[in-house]
Amino acid sequence: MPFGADVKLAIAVYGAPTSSEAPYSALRFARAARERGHEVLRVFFYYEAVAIANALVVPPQGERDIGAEWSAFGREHGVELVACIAASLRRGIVDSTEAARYGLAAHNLREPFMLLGLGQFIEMAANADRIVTFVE
Amino acid sequence: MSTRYLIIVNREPGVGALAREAIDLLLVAGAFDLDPAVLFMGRGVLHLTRSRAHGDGEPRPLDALGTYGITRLYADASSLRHAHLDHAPLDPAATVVEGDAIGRLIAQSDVVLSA
Repeated sequence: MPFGADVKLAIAVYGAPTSSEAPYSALRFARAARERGHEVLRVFFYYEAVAIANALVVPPQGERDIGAEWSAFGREHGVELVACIAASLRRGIVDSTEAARYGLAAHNLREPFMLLGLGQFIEMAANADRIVTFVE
Repeated sequence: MSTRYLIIVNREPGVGALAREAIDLLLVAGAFDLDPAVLFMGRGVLHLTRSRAHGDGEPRPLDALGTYGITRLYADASSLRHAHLDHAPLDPAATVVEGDAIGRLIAQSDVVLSA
């Protein structure tokens, strides 16, 4: 079903940037949605997709830096980029608050990502007209 | 009328984080008193057999569904047949639904989440 005008969208991304198209497809979708005037409430990264929020990833020369592209999209459009806090901690992605909480030597959350819980995922789904999920 | 949630579980159980994280999403929805319905499809139906990836008698994250008030469980009949579970007891118990009923279940839901 085509979207009408001014649809409030929520986007969930599950697939890893190193083994799936999900983060790339989701970014193309998000850009297209904004170009058509739709609101993107929030993008929630879950499962292996939280790797997008790792600031210490260095793609080889000539390869896309999908994490940097997502960051630029978030800043340009004022869209919240959220990585699931539990999934991120499992995979070694922490912000300064969590690093202090767990006594870790460093933090590596990419700006402007935030770490939030699954409750915010549920809230996002409830507040959107459509939630679009990119799994693989 | 309150928002009706349906969570579709496609991921099979296992020892990794992915299966656990799928169930976490269910439990959080239950913790928020959203009364979600849960539909197990594809390899996700393997959650409904205790012997798969879990020893008999061992606690599973799925065993907590009742504690979180999640009681409306459904299993896709064709997925059960594909997994040779169509004659097996389902644990936890789930209502087996065929294709048309799945369509109605989705159509009746305001929010459908994939886990």
